[in-house]
Amino acid sequence: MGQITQTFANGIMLGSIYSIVAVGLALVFGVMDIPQFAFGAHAMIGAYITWLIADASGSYWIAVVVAVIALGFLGVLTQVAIFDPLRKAPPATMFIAAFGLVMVLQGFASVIWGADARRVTSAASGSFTFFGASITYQRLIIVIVSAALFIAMFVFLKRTRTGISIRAAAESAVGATVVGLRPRAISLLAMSIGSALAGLAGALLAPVSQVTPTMGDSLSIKAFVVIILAGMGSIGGAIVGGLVLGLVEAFGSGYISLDWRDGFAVFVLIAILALRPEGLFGKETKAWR
Amino acid sequence: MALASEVTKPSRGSRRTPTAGQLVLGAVAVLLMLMPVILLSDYYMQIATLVLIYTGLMVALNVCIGYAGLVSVAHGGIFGVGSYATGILMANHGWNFWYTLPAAALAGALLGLIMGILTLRLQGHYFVIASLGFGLLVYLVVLNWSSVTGGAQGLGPIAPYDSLFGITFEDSDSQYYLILAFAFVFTGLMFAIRRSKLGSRLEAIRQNQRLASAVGIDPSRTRLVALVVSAAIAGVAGSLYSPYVGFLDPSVSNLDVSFKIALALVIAGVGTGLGPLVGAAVYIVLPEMLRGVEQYSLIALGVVLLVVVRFAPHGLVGTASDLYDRLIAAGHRPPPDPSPPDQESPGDLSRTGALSGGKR
Repeated sequence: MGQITQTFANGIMLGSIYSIVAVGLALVFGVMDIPQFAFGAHAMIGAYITWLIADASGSYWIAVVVAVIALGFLGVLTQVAIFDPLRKAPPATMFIAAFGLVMVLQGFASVIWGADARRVTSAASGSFTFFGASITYQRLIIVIVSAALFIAMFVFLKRTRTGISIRAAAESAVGATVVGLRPRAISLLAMSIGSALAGLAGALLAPVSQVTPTMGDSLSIKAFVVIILAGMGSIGGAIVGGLVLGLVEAFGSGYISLDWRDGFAVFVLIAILALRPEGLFGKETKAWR
Repeated sequence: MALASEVTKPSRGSRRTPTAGQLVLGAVAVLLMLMPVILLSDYYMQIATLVLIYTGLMVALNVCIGYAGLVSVAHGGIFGVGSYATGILMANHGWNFWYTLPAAALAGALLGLIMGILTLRLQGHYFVIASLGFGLLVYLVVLNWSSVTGGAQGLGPIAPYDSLFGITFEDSDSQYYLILAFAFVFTGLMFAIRRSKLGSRLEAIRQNQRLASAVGIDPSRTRLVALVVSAAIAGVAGSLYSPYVGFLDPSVSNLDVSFKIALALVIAGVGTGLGPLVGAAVYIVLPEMLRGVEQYSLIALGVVLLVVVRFAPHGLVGTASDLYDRLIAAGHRPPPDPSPPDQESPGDLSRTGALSGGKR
């Protein structure tokens, strides 16, 4: 019993992180068709900023806020400098550019901070026991923050003018232009939200994992697995998909084999792409155009 | 633009008067043959040989990305499997290198077939993501199937190349020439594919998939054949790698390799004739120049890539050939041949929108 609840709790924690990155990716990939493969590297930068600021200010929460804002700006920069000029280029070019961005970000991180792993102390140390599972407060923070974030995302996308224009642009870029929305401004906003979310994921991950230049690598792949699992453009699907993938990984590495930890996500990915490219919650598929 | 890239048979005139592209290719070939005379240190010879081994891998990638329009991030994995096929057969089973070569080609082709079947219906971004997953899976298998691959400890020592028809490959010069011969064969094969029925079909699909289907070309099958051929070449390139380095560890099939070779080929010029060689040089020489400060080579490669993608989408080779075209067009001297001067040059592929893998 204890082991099952423990694995479950780990899976939910992991899944929350995946969901946060995947929601950002769903915004820019599902909505704007930009395959932002560098969100994992963005999370890594967010984790380093958290480490820096937490060290300097002594407050984890200030560090989280700074990381999120800084990454939001990085998103704007990325969109202006890289993706917007390429919007007429063939799709694969964007992918390649995103790979280039990953290398630049990782290179900078290792030049500035070296290859040594950094540690961030948690805002709330200690743990509690829940149905036989020992859950640290930091993990609880991750789950609570992501739950709050998801609710906020929903309100933003369904109730605010800006959120509705993002969804409109997703529905039809041409239609959105006709009714007076500006797709380029919207994609700028979506990219900065996406980057900020990746930064948040990194900031939340920083106290529970080691901060290294390559810490975000598997995060990028998993975010793609999640939104393909979820179906394009489905924000709700990205949240559920992230949690599902977190649980699959936690149970897979707990009960099958730890060595294949990253393999479970890939199995899910290939199975979905081969059997149901439109995703579990997808209405129509963009995959076989 | 599209018309310029249509496959045209060389006119008789152009066969007698070599085009600029052919002249450049010939000059490069001569230069490569003279390398052992130019590079007088074993260290430089080693780098040159590695560049040529990776040229084989780049040719495979060029067929996949440039001709078939499929941006694969799995070719590092396929290269790794090819090298492990040879490594395992030589080190653990005592095979002669030359017998392991077809085995490695077969292993590569098989991977290409599986990947092709799994991704048959996927386009653009989705193909990239699927190939990424496939490459990661291959790496995980190499890493975790320790009883066969030696796992993280690696595999070795692997003996050097066995002799062939009495020719031995013991010193660095003879090894270089052996690999150079393979690089010529690979490049020749690449041009042959380009001009074959498969090449024209791929071209037609890339230009307009719907039209191609309408005239009876089966896009799925054509893609599958291209992937299998490309993966077999990658397998052979991997096979050549093992005896040369003598030791393998799972990092040869890392995703990182797949990314970097794709980036290097894009920097060099996807779909161009010299792209594979230039790409391999970018992939091998740049990190070598920045040895000891690897993180700078990451930044350098990334920045170069971003600049190239933004300002020279046809890559270095493609852009150079475009510039040459423009110079000719600007000059008042009419070209010696009624057809555009470098129509048959390797550079002309660059104008097909080689990276157009997606939404057509």
